[in-house]
Amino acid sequence: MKKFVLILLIVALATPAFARGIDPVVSVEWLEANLNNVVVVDMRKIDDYKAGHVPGAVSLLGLYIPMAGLSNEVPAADELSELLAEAGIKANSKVVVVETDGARFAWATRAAWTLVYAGVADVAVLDGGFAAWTKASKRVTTGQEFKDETDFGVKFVPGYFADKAYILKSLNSAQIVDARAYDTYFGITKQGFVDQFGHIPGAFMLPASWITDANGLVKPKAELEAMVAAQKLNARQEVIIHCDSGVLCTAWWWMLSQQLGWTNVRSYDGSAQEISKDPSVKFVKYVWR
Amino acid sequence: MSYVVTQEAIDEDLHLHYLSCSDCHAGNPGAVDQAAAHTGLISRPSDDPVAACGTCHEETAKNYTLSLHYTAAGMQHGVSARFNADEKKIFDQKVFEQSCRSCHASCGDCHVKSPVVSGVNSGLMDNHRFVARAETQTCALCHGGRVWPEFTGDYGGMPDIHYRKGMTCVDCHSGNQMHGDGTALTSRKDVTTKPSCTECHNLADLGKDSTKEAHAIHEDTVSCSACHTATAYRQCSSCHEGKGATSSPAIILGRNPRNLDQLTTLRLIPTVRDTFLDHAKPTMSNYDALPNYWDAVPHNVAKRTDRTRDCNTCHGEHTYYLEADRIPEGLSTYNKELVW
Repeated sequence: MKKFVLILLIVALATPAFARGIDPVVSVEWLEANLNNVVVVDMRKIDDYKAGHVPGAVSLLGLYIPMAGLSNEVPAADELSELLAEAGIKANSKVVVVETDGARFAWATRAAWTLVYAGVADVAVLDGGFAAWTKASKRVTTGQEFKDETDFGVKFVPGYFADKAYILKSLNSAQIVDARAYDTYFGITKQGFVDQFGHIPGAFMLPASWITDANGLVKPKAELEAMVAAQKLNARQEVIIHCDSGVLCTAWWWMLSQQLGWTNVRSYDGSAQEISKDPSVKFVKYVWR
Repeated sequence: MSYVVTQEAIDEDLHLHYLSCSDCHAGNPGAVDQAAAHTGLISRPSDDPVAACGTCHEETAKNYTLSLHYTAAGMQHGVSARFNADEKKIFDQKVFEQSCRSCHASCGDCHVKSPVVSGVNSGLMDNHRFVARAETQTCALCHGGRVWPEFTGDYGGMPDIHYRKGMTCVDCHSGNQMHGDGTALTSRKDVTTKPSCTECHNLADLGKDSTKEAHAIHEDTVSCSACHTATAYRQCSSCHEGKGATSSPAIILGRNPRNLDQLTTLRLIPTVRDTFLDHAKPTMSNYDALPNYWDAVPHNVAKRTDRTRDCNTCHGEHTYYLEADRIPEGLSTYNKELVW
């Protein structure tokens, strides 16, 4: 009996994704039915937001900013606290992130990852973004809306984040996942701000573009699981995901951690932009894992 | 077949409802073939604001003919101190009139169709309806190299706090400022109706005691933007006619060339000694009469920055301060006066 209780306890502690009060990816229909119970945050340009948005949505910009030579960093704690408080978010809020469309899925997950990293557990991404909302002819509101400011203060969840020091010390123990396109992984192309062609030796390739279908909607869970299994990733071993500049990696972070329930997944937002400049890390190219 | 002006637009827009096309664009509305109908056509009627718009908007149109948006006089006078009298004549005739002047905005450039920038014509904004404000289709195009992307965060960094709260250009820059007040100005710095932070933010009431104290200590000698500009803004250099300029992001703090007792954000303006030399354009005998760094408000405001968080950013490290040995070689000797 004691053993059974212990197993239950371990499972409960180890699977926070299952304790969610909201699915990590929600449909247009779900959002419409639950508009009164969620805080909807719109990540698009302010002009696009004002021209038409999900009723009740507030504009929320600045969740990822360039800092110290890196393109997409988490704002300072006091600044992030203020941003989220002004958006009417509390630690126990159910928050739905709206981006432009499915092509911007990773930008949506970057915002969503920032929210859960900041201590807001129940966050979802609107599947297909605002384009799916309008395609379904749902009601939109123009102009700008505001929420009552809360007293939210961020409480970062360290286990969701990796910095350069962390990934460097984990290169031989963690599964390093590269969420960039496969020709980038292979070393054919690279971004100008990345110093080396190819990938971190031993990294698993898992492009973020594999997550959504031709309509920009997230693929079924079983398909995502099959892809991950085909790449021979182990759910019980630590995963650190990177991409070029800390956006695409959050797409797979979101899927593994929030959708599939993996419990030891970190996102490295400095990504190849930072680590490719470290002389101790030699990327390899023209090689698949 | 689609029409430039739809019946719906005619029904909804007062201008289109009460005026015929030929009232503004002239031509021959009675003719049946295109060539005859277009005889005498005026494609941009509001290039003459008083004649086109002044019938109804008399004062605004008259004032606008003297505004900087219309005269582009800022471009003419901003550099003029670098020339001697003979060089100035050449500049006015061969550079300003033939090049800079083309940037002037007609009424229609802001209220009917987007302004043409670098040869790109974005066309009518809303089916020839007259729009009161459409900053993303107007201001953002002419000011799209520096201020607008710095404001929205597209140039990097947190979007300006005012943008994040839904404010765009006209929320601070009033119609009176845009249209002018009837005074012939030579610089945007002379505009009396331009906004200031303290119109909305009373420093005596703002924030915690430490914030009030910091504002009280600095307000006479440091501009708001020196502390509240969040991230690096565009610095342009090496401008050569027809060859463009190069740019890089940086925050630069130094003496305001218009008020040497004030520390402010400076922007590197790209005029170099041989900027106008191509095609026997004027030399600048008095090049060193003006600096290359000018006071600028980068429109990338944040409540908190590394300067507001840590006094040491300025008082210990002198981070961002213009230093004599970092001024690019060959630029104006005046620049050294701006080192704090």
